[in-house]
Amino acid sequence: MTRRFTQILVCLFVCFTFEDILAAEPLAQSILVIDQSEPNSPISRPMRNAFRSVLYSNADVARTVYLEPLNIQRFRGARYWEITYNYLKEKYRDKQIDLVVAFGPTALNFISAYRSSLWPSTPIVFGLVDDAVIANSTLPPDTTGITVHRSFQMIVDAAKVLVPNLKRIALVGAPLADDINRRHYDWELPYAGPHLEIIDYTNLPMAEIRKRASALPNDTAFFYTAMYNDQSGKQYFPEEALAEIAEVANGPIVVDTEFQIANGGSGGFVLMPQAVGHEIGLLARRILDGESASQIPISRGDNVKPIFNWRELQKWNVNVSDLPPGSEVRFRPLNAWDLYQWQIITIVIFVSFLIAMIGWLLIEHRRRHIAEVESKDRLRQILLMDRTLIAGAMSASIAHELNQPLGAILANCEAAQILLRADKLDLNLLKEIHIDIERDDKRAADIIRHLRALLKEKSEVELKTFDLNDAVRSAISIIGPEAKKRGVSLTCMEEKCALPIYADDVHLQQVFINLTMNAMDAVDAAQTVSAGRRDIEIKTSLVGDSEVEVSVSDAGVGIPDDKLKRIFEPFFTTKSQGTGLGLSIVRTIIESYGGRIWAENRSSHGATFRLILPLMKPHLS
Amino acid sequence: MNSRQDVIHVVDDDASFRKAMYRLLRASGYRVVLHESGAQALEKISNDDRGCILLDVQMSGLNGIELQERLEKVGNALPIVFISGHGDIPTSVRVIKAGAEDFLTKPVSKDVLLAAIKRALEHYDEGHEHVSLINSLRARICTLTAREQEVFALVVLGRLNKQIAYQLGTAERTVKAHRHSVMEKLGARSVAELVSIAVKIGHPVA
Repeated sequence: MTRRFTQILVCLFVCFTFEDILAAEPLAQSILVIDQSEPNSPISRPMRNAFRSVLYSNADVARTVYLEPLNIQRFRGARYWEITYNYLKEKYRDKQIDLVVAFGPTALNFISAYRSSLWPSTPIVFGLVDDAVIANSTLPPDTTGITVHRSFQMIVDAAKVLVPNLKRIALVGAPLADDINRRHYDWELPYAGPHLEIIDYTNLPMAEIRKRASALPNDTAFFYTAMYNDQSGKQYFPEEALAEIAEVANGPIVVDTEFQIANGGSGGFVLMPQAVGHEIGLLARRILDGESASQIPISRGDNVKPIFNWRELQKWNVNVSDLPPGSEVRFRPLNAWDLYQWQIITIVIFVSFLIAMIGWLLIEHRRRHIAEVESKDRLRQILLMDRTLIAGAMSASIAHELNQPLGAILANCEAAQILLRADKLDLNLLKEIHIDIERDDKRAADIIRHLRALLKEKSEVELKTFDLNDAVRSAISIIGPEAKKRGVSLTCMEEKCALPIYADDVHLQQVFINLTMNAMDAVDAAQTVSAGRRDIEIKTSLVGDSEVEVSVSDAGVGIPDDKLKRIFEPFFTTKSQGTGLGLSIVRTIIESYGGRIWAENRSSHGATFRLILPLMKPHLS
Repeated sequence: MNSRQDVIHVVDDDASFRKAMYRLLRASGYRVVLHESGAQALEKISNDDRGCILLDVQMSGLNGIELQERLEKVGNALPIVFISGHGDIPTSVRVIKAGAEDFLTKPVSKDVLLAAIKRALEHYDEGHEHVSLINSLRARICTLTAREQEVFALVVLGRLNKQIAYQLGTAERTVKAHRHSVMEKLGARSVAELVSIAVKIGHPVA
C-alpha cells in the first residue's frame, strides 16, 4: 500500500515536472538556417541579418538561430553531402529544432533529402529559390516558402533599356548550367527574341573574356552571372571577377543581384537579399507562432527591383527618364539639393518672402514718394492761390501805390514839355525833373518786382538763407498801401541783430501778409463796434540763441477763447467773406520749417499771433 | 485865361507827386501851394484868393473825404478836384454828391487836369458872385430900423398895410411911410422885388 502510494507520488511528481517542461517549452525556440552559400557572401550576410532581426523583434520567447552554410560553390558531390549530414546529426543530437530554414535551391534539396532522418516533424521554410526551380521540384510535406521571380526576359528588358539598339547579349561569368540559381535562364534562352544574338563567353579564361569583351561592337550588352573560378581554374570572388570584366567591357553589364551593382554592374532587375531575409523572417515567425506550414501556400516574393548604377548610366549615355518605372538609381553623386532639400526649400521660401516684402516696400516707397510729390505740388498751388487771393484783395491799394509814381512821372514829363517850349531853358529844373522821373520809375518797378516775387509760379521751393527782418520789411512794403488805404498804421519793431533763417522767403512774406491782413480785418471789425486804436505792431525778437519769435498784435476785436485753437483749422472762418484757408496755410508753412504758431488774446483788447521759427546755426550758414 | 491871382492848393501825402504837380502847375501859370497832409491843408487854406483844391483821396491821417467834410464845415468856398490813385465808383459818387468839382484818376494828363481846374475856377466865380450879392443884401437889411425890419417881414409874408398896422398897433399911414423907407433902402421898386430879396437871403416868405 505504502509502496503503491509512493509510486503514485513519484508518478505525479514526474507528471508535474514534465508538465513544467512542456509549459516552459515555448519560452525557447531554436531555428536552424541552412544556407547554400558561404557564410560571408554578399548575398548571405544582409539576408541573414534581416531574417534574424525580424525573428528577434517583438518575440515573447527566446529564439536561437543556428547557421549552417553549405558553401556549395566550393564543395560539391555526394560525399560532401554525406559528411555534412553526419556532422549535423551529431552536432544537433541534443538540440530541439523547431524550424528549418533553407536559403537557396541546393539547401532546399539537401534538407529535402535528409529531413526524415534528421528532423522528421520539423516544418521547413525555404527562400532565395527562383519560382522556375520550385516549379520543377517536388517538396517534402510541411514545407512552405517564398520564391524569387527572375527570368532571362527581364535580363533582355534591362539590356534594351541600357542599349536601345541592342543586337546581342554576351554572357560572361559561370556557365548557366553550373549555376543552380540561374539554370532556368538557360532554358529560356531560345525565347529571348528573334533578332537577338546570344554570345556565350562563360567557359573561358578571364584573360580571354576580357579580350573578347573589349572587342565587341557597341550595340552589345553583357550579362554577368556569378563567377567563382574561370576556365583556367583561377579562384575569384564573384564581385572581383565582375570588376575585372567591367573594366574592359565595350558595353553595359546587366546583372541580376543587388550587390553586383556596386562592382561594375550597370543595373537590371536585381534580387535584393535583404528583402528576401525580411520576407522569410516574417513567414518563419508565423510558423513559430503556431501556424501550420502546410496551411501556408508558396508565394512569390516582392524581392526583385529595377536598380541601376548612375555612373554606368553616364558612361553609356542612358537617360534616367528612359529607365523602367519604379527604378532606383544608385551612386548618383549627392548634390546640395539631395543633402539639404528642406533647408533649401525653407531658405528659398524665406528669401522669396523677403524679396516679395522688399518689392512690396519698394512699391509702397515709390507710391509714397509720388504721393509726397503730389502733396507738395498741391500745397505749392494752394500757397500760390492764397498769395493770388491776397494780391486780388489788395489790388485797389496796389493800383493806388503804382499810380502814385506813374502820376508823378506824367506830371513831371508834361511840366518838362512846357518848360522846353519856354524861351529861356531852366536846365537845372529840367535836370531835377529828369532825376525825379528816374526815381519814380524805379519806385514803380520795385512795387512790380515785389508783387512778381509774391505771385511767381515756382516749380520748386527755393530754399535759401536770409534775414527774417528782410522778409518782414518786404511784407510790410507789399501790404503798406493796403494798410494806408484802410487807415491802419503798421509799426515794425525789429530785433537789432540779423536773424538768419533757412526757408523760402516768399513763404514767410506770405505768412506775415496773411497775419497782417487778418489783423487789419480785426481792426476794421472793432471800428464798427467802438472806436479802437488802428495800430498793428509787428515785432521780431530772439528767443534764446536758436529761435526767433515774430508777433503780430492788433487792437481789434480779439478771438473768442473757444475758437483760439480752431482758427488754424482749414475752412474755419469767423469772417463773412473769408475762405478759412489763410491761417491754416500760415500754420502749414510755419510747421514745414520746423516752427510753431499760436494765437492769444491781449489783456487790453485785440489779439496777438505769435510764431517761433528755428534760426539757422551760424556755422551752417 | 490864367490869372496871376489864382491859387491852386495841392493836398497829397506823396512828396514826389506833390513836387511834380507843383512844377506842372507853375509851368502852366498858376500859383501853387503844397500841403502834405489833410491837417495842414485844413489849417492853411483860406478863401482869400481865387483858386481851387487838388485833393488826394487816400492819405494817412486825415484822408481826402474827411478833409472835404471838414472844409465844408468851416465855410470853404474853394472848389475841390479829387485826384485819386485808384478811382472806385463808390468813392467818386460819394465825393461828387458832397460837392466835389471833379474826380480824376492818377496818372492824369495835363489837358484833363487843366480843363478841370478851369471849370473849377469858373464855378468858383459863380459861387463867389452869388455870395457877394447876398452879403450886400444882408448889409442893406442891417441898415433898416427895428420897426422897418418888422414891416419888411410882414410885407414879404403878403400882408396888407391895414393888417400890418393892426398887427403892429399903429396907423396905416405910418406903415406906408415905413414901407416906402424899406423899399428905398433895399433899392426895390415893387413888392415882388422885396420878396425876391427875402428869398435870396433866406428870409421866410408867403
